[in-house]
Amino acid sequence: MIERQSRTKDLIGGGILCAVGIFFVAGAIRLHLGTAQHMGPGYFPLVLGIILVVLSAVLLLQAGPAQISERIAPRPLLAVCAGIAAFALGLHWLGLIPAVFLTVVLASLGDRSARPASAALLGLALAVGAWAVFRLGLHLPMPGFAGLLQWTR
Amino acid sequence: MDALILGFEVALTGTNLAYCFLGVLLGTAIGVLPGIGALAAVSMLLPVTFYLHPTTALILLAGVYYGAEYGGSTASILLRLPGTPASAITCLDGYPMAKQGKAGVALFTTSVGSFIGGSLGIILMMVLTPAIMTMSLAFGPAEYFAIILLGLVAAGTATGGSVVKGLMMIVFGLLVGCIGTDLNTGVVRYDLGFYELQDGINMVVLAMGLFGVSEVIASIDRPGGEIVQRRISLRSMIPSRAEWRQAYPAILRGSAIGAFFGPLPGTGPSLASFMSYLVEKRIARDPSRFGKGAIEGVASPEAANNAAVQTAFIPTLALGIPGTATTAILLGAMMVHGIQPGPRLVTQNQDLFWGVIASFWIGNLLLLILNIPLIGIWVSILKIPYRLLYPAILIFICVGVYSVNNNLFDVWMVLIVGLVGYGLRLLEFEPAPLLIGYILGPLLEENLRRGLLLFRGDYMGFVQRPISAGILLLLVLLIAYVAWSRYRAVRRGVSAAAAG
Repeated sequence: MIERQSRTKDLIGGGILCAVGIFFVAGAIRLHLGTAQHMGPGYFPLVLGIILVVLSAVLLLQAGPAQISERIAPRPLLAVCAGIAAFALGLHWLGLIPAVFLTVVLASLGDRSARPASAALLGLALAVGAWAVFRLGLHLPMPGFAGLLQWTR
Repeated sequence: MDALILGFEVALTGTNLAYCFLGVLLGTAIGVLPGIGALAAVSMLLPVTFYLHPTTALILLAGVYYGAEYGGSTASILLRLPGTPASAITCLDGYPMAKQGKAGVALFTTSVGSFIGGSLGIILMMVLTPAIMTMSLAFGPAEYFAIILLGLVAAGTATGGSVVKGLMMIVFGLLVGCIGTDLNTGVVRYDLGFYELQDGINMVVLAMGLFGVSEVIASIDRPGGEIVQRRISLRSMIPSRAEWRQAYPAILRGSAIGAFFGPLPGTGPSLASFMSYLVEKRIARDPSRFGKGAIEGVASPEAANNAAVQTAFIPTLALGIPGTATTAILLGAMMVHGIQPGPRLVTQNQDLFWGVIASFWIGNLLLLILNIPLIGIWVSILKIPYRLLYPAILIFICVGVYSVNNNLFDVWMVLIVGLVGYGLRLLEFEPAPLLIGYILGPLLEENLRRGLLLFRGDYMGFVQRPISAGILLLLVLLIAYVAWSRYRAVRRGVSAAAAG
């Protein structure tokens, strides 16, 4: 059972990286290739891309040895991604303090045992802390409030 | 000797001393906490160091690196969760020792072992690095090309998992390293229309995504452990005479094994601690004690991983060839500061080289104090639940990548790289060789093309020079050995399957 799963993983992994290799080969062909003696900008990635495709083919052909498998964790995955996205959007539209608050609250939801109240409290504490350290302390160019909230500055 | 005194003069200035302390303090904290390793910590601190003097930056980052190996054993012993990958093996005997009420002795032994291992590592570093640097004065593009290639193949094949997968990650990393402007012609490669990619994918973004973000995602659901022994008195830490008699030869053996594996490309502290445990178990009079709280089983691996951490700096500083992903990031940090590793490091940046070495001595002494009398602090840090910690780590990652170029593009990029890293984890690909490939890729291409220019397109030029020919021969032997041991493993598997 485990063996079959590991083999599926190798099939998926080999397939994806084979596609990556083809992508780089396709990109390299559009650059100036040159010759093996006088390489253009495309030659080196072309060779590497071909090697990656060959290695992927080897992986696809050989069954992977059985290993302890890690399962996908959808809740942490979604929460962390939402948190980073909230930071990227929030920093531009709202400023550092709301961005950090949103990121912390969203990311905290990734843990099943987290309660909204404690997440909000942690968010508040880290937002003020981040503002104090990065803005007041290190003078990074990140205003506490920005974008839509600029009038409060 | 004069040089070392100069080094201490550099390392003992107020700023450098403060950053050395900060580095080992942070390193220990990060080592103690499971779910965040030295690799993630060093990459998270990278943007901060861009504002520092290069020597100070290196002192700080290196302090985090070796400090983490000290702290790593604490969680292994008390929680049976390794704080760093290299401390995983310490769980085997450290946790049983803690269950027998001997947590203090185990923690003391690992700290002393770490110190002895680290010291041997630094001494070797002081002797060997300048010697290798002098030798490398004769190196041209052919030699560098051969060494980098050897390092890459070794890093890809020594991951412990599948050799093919390791090599795939190396090549993937080399390809990622191709993104951006080609240094020889100025042509932009693979920017996909984003002008932000013209300088390539930023090292901080790649490292934080691969090791920070994906590590956080994978650690949230992981169950926390129960701390076995909450209070550790100083008195309970002192080993008995019989225990010490067992521990110290093991520490010396571990140090030697670690010092050997540290400089080899692709091996690093994890393999060193693993090998030293195997050796202890094999030479023990009563191997059945192992796994039930044998003191040699914690003494030797911890000495080994600290010796390996220190000697890993030898090829990094002498040749610019990192053996582990963490030293690869340190190398990247040096390149950001415009410091070229290699023979010129000792002549032109004497104060940097010897200052960093002197800081290693100071840092190791500080760590001994931090980890023996002050162990109580780290035990209480272990009680902080991960759900309070990881949002803060995430904020640090976001602010860190943003601050490199003050660009939100990098924040989105770290999200993408984090997803890729998590996907690779799920599919059981090691991300560390990818990072090594990414850092060494541009150097490999540059030396290859420079060499071809020098030899007028004749590939025989790479083989006709004795040193590069020798290194390439080593490479062939390595590949042959890997292929042979793979073949043997497969045959054994087939015969076992036939018998079963």
